[in-house]
Amino acid sequence: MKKNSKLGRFVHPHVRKLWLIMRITTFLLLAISLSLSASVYSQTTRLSLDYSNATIREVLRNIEDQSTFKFLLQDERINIDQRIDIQMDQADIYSILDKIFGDKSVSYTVTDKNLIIIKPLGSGKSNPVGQVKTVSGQVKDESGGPLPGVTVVIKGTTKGTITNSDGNFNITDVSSEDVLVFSFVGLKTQELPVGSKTVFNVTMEESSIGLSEVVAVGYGTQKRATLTGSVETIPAEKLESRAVTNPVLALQGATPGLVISRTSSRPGNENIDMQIRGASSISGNVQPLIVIDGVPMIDASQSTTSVKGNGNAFFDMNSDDIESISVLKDGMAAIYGSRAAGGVILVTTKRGKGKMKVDIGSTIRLNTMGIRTPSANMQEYAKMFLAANAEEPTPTWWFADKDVMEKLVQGESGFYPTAHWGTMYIGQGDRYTEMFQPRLSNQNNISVSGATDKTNFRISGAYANNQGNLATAYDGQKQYNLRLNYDYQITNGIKLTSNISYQKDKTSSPSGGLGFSLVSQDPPLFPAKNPYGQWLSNFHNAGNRNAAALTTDGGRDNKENDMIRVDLKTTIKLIKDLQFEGSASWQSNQYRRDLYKLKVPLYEWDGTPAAGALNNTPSISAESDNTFYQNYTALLRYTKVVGNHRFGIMTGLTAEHNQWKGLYAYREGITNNGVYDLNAVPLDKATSNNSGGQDQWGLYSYLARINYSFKDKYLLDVLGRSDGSSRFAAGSKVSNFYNVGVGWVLTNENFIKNLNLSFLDYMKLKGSVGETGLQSGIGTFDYYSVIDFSSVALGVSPAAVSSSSVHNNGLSMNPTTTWERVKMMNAGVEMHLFQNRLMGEFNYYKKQNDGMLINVTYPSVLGASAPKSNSGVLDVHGWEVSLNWQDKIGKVTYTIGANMSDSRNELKKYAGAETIAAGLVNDPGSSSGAWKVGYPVNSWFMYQTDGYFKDEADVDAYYNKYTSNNVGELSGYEPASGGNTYQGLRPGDTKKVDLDGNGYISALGNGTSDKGDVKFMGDAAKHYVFGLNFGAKFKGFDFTAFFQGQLQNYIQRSDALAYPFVVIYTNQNAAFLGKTWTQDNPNAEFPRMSVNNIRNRWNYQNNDFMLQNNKYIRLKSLIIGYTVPSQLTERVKIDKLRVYFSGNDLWEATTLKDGYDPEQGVSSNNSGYPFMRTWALGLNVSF
Amino acid sequence: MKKLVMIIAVGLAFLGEACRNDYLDLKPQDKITEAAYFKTPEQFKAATTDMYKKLLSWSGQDQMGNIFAFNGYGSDLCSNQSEGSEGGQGGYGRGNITVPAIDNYWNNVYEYIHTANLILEKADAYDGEMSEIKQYVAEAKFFRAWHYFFLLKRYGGVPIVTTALTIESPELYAPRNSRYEVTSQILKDLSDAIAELPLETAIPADEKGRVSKYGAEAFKARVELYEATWEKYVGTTTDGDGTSEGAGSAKPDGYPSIDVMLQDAAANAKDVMSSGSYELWNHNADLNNRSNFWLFTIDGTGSNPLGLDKSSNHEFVLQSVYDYTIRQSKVQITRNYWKLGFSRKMLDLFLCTDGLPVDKSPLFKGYHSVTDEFSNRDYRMISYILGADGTIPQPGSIDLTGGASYGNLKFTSWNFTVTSYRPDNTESPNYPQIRLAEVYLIYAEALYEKDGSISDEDLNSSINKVRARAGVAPLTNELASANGLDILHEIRRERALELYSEDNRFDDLKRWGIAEQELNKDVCGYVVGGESYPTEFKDASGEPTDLYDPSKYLNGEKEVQTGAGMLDALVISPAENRNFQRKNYLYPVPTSQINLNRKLTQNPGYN
Repeated sequence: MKKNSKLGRFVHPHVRKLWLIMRITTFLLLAISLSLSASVYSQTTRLSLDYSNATIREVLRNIEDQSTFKFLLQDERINIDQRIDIQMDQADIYSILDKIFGDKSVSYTVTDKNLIIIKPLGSGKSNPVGQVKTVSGQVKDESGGPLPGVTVVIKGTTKGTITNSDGNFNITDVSSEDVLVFSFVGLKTQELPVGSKTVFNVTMEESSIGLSEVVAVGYGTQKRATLTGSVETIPAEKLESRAVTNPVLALQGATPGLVISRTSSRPGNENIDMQIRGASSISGNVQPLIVIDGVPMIDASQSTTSVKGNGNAFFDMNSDDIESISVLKDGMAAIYGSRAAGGVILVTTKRGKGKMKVDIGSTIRLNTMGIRTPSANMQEYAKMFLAANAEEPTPTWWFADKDVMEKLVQGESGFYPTAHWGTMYIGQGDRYTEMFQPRLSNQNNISVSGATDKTNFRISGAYANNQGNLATAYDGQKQYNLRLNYDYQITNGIKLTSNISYQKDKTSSPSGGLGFSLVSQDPPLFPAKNPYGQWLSNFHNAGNRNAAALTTDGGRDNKENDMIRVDLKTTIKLIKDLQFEGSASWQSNQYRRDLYKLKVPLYEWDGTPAAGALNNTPSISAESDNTFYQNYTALLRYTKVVGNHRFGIMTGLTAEHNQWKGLYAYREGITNNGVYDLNAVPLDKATSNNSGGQDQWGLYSYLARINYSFKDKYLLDVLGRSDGSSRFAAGSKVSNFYNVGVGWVLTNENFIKNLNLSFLDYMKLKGSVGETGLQSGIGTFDYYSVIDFSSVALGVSPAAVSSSSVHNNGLSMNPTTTWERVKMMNAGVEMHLFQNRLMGEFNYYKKQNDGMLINVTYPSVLGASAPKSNSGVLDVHGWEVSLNWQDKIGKVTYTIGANMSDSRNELKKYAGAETIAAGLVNDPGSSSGAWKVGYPVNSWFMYQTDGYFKDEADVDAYYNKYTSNNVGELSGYEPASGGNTYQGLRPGDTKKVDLDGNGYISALGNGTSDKGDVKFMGDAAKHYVFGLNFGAKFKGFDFTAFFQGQLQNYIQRSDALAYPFVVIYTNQNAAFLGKTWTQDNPNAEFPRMSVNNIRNRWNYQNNDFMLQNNKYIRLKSLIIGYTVPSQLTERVKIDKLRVYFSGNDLWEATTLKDGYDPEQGVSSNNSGYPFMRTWALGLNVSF
Repeated sequence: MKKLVMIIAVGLAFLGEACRNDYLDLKPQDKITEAAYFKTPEQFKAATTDMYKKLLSWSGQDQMGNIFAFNGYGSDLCSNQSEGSEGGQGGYGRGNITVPAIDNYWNNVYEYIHTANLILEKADAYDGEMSEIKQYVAEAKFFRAWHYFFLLKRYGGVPIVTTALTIESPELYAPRNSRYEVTSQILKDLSDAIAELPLETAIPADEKGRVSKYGAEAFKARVELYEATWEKYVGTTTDGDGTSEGAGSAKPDGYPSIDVMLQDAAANAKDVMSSGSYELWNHNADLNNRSNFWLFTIDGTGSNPLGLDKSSNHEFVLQSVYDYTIRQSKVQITRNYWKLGFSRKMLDLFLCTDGLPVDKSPLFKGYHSVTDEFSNRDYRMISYILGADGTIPQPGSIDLTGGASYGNLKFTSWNFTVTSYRPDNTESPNYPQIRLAEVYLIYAEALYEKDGSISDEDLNSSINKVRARAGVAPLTNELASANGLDILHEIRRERALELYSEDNRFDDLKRWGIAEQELNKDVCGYVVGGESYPTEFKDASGEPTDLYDPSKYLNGEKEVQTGAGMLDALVISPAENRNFQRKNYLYPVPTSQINLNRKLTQNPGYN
């Protein structure tokens, strides 16, 4: 114990009262804000001691270990080696100190962070010099809300008070030379000299250290300081002021190791993917388990066409309801056992605290168009067509002759003869200007919250309407949220906690026209309307596509999710140190989709009706499914402190059941009469269709966790879970998972302290080894062989005759098949440096998925897909680093944060023979099944190329060398091979290299797996994913800029616009214009443009130069806010008024060569919808 | 209070434990399990009914393309030789085959075989009277034979599997069986099936489409003719030694001789012909002699001027049933068949009405005008080329500015462009798996191959019925001898004409051992003539007319044998680009399968 010679004065009665209030406040705050029924900390305010003949030193040390109290002896005259007897049960600290020191004439003063300064009586300044007066004031938190319960004491004394429920305080007899100390758990302590002031309005800032922060870790909480696992927390402020409705979008780049991607910015159709620490399995991307307020969220993923798959319970949350998000990345997730291999995201919602308060937030957003698909316009299209025919021995003027194309290059619209459709009007078909406009969206929320000593509540509501840029019809999502969080302390030992929430999303889009057919499928030569304002039929009378018409008049696709969730929890103190917690959660999601497609007549340019129409078979379908999820949990928690040893034990069981029921119905012949329901269409039995479906799964699990720490220096966490699952056959249902973590807080070691490293505030080394499970890719009843029913047409007047087949020919999952198990290892270091201004964390991890479930490839003679078996091994390793600096320059406080992570994997074992192919190998989604051990999931195997043919002689030499025995791919490119096609290679075409030297060009080689002419060039995963955060505050202004990006992500564009003339009759990718080989530009980046799509495949597809590194940085968020000074707002009874600008995706830099948005994903189909930029203005009011 | 709470808590925990099984022992709620199935005849019926979907037809086998890969794109009869067109076989006729890693035609067919094996195993375990399910057992055997024949034609000998395999089965790693062993297995299954399958008359109207005894006999006749002629003309040249390459030539005990197979083929064909259940669909009198067009488009009463629906068709012995409302083809039948144009060779194969070939018949008018070629010809020429319309091309109506030959109308929907009677992908005629015309041709060919001769009586009871519908004079021994015709050649000609685009041409060329010879010739289009033979495309001075733009024809012209002697014709695919070899008689075994089972040997010539 440190000793100090300053002396103080004893003001015992005040302190007692103060502590009583503080204790209650602290208890409530912790219990409320952390949703923690058995908070370690709450118990520390009441201590139990049982010592006989112990030294005061031992007793004090034990109190320190048991609680967050620290003792400071200010005078060596206090004999703490004196032996005492003390037996106290659940006593407060003052009773204990009174008992310890009894008549020893000492005083104790509470300061910053429960530091108790013990001084001999009579020392210190007994008679303050200077003017004596009364000071008062108000204490607020950073959001401007009044802060009750803040301790205000005169420095060096124990004289003080705590702020009342309005945050106000009042202290008498204060000298102008005194210093007031304001302290509150979790907030930065402030010391303010009194001077001439009598009114103090103080704003408390959050503590930078964060070590006292309590973190949700699954079935409980832990102090960050003593955590051994790799857990990231994302506080509410990361979600605040962001112009996004979906909280997940705000998490993009927020924390290392959690990679969130989307392929669109269309509201409700973002196609979000979450991945923690890279791949876990080749079964596909393993999504994290999402746990909201301690209970896994409902999994509605059985719904085949669900708007957002299994994420909607989280994606549709009101961001304003979220208090914090914890991300469990390593084996700590094993407390969730079989679903933990993808990591766990724990979401904690806000609860009421302090004085009743109303918060209102509102943003209005303008969405403008960002990066668009680089599909050609009329001039570019014609230019590309001319270029592609320039070097062609058999030019193909598929659409219209050369002279027409030459006119189009000049931008001349008009009537032109075409190849197959007669004379028709050709003009600029610019769907972007025809169909897209900036659109307004808005988001609003309100909450009312507050607390008394027995209850707390928070009621909130939110409404958002997010619209994409489509101008021809509504395309967007509306979201509605209601939530009540209510807690009631029935007796001292029994508490009830309840969360009730309702959330609804309505995604409404046109029935079609927004995918491939938007701007990419057809040449851009057909204006949407003719001069009479009628929808124009493209390709003259043969056309049946017109995205502008289809989106406007072609019907709607409406999807809704209604989710209701009720959580009830009770915590009961059974005996000393032992607490029972029982909870039940019911969650119900109702999904409904109404899709109707209306017939849209089309017209010729001259106003005559065209032969074709859109949605020639008008139809309506309705799909409805309901998911009901129940979760019951019973836990016992036990905490005990013995000497320097602190134990926490939690054990319990949890049962879960998920039931899904679906219905689908379809009718044809709907007409546009304003009523769009199945009942509005006559039932035609022949064309109507319907289906049902039910599914269920259950889990029954035991779990336990033991935390042990010695002097807060040596830490040990052991946890385990035994999961029983309905997904496996009897005998294989149960599997056990565990994690062991150790930590060492170096800065609590005396030998480190003795080094007096002033720059080092805190340092912890940690490591963990665990094993988690994975059930993704396992159906609910794969171990049953089941019968599929369908029908076959038979009869003279054909009718459907029922038929049946044994699913997968009866090859169901082997009864011994079990979970995929992922071993997880984590090693990390956390450091706080330079007076906590710099905080850093580094983690290195390894994962091994041993017994990965794969479809082992057996000879096809088997006659069915082999059932999955535990026959693969995937190794994963990676690292994460985060650094955060915060400091002040003058009155400007600023923060700089950076994080980056990477994950690499290697397929170690894959039973069955390897097969190699050009392009993606080890692709979980592939049907071709190309596998190669020793390479990562989604490996790129590309042809090596050696430039382009210079001249005819070069071509001839190549043919002579590599056309042997009519084998290999070159044989498909023989000159003048028949019909009217001519795909022989010519100057400007690509020279592929015979890598294996076997005399011909083939990806496959000669049927052996290790040969062939493709080479590994990287994998398709996102690497070196980073986030950069800059923040500053000055007076009322705040500024945040947040960048997100990645440094390595190899992609090859796929589908129709991947390269020029993948298909001759589509629109083309204009980004290639001017970059391809011509006689005049022999050193171009890309090979010759050609109208022959077969040769183009040779020239472009799977060639090394087509692999792009999708490196990008994007300004995800820019927020500039201004909080109106409270002196002004107080007059109108407003505690806080803040206005802000918030922007999303306002700027980016990318290395993509082919013009696409870096977040769009690889397919060039389904990609016409422009990415949007968001410009929002927001307002927060609290009163 | 505390005690009470504790008791409740502990009680709850135990209660929770007691209902553990409510969470773990769950069962599928919307599926019947296999263990509870195959208990009634109806269930066996449903299981075999499902196999009708697996027959290669419009929508084809699951995930496996469709008939367009087999209807003769790229053959010597077809003007469409392009690669990557719908058929995907454009390159096959030129010997352009790469060894694939994966071939769905190998994978999927073994799935169908597994399904048949599974039904047969379930039947063995059936508790009820076997007589209740004998029809379905027979159907399963028929389908097993059907799919093995597909494999036989494509790969030669393949591993024979007759049980429902599991991942532990040693058969997974067995070597290939020889083609003779496969044939033996097929014939055995068919014999079993024929014994138990119902007569056509016993199949109720609402079940038509199920295979009858005669369907199995007709198919058996097809298999026997195929394998007998293969053995006769191709012999063991594609078999390999069975150890380093190919499936070998091992013959099982009691393997039938060529003559026995031919004899049985003829006998089976005869049984079908004389069953009285089938007749050629002949409405020539009312349909302007175009029965050979309308037969293939029957698709509801609106599909022909007579309003004839599928009940009028008694020619299809085995068919895949389609229906506009319940089972549409889901492929562009019309557009795809349009592209299946006619080569010069095919056009010249059509006889004149006197039964003589164009180079021998006085009725043939030559090529001077595009009208001439159509005069006095086989009705099938106008059926296939002119279709419903029947309007013979008028002079000047054909211009050669890119096109090379006439498009095909066989199988294409009537009035496709005019009234959209059946828009793309909704065309739903039945697909003829085996029809009576083929049975007639099998009969004639089998007899001729066996005996080296055939009586007029037998010709009249078979091939001449087909010729009669086509408006061609009967083939008689006298006609042949008087005009120097080879009867075998005439029978083969009839197959080419009657079965055009019905998954036959490549098979026929191969089993006759003449594929290299026939496929490697120039494939030509229009006769353009020249100086000594002016046409609409070239004037008497040999100069192209306004109707002909030679620059559009990369492969130029060539003098070839035509019905009017050696004349210049457009070259579609020059002989120097055609390299069909003996090894191409069989497809290569996909390399991934060889990698998985090293005992699988590659077919000769593909290593």
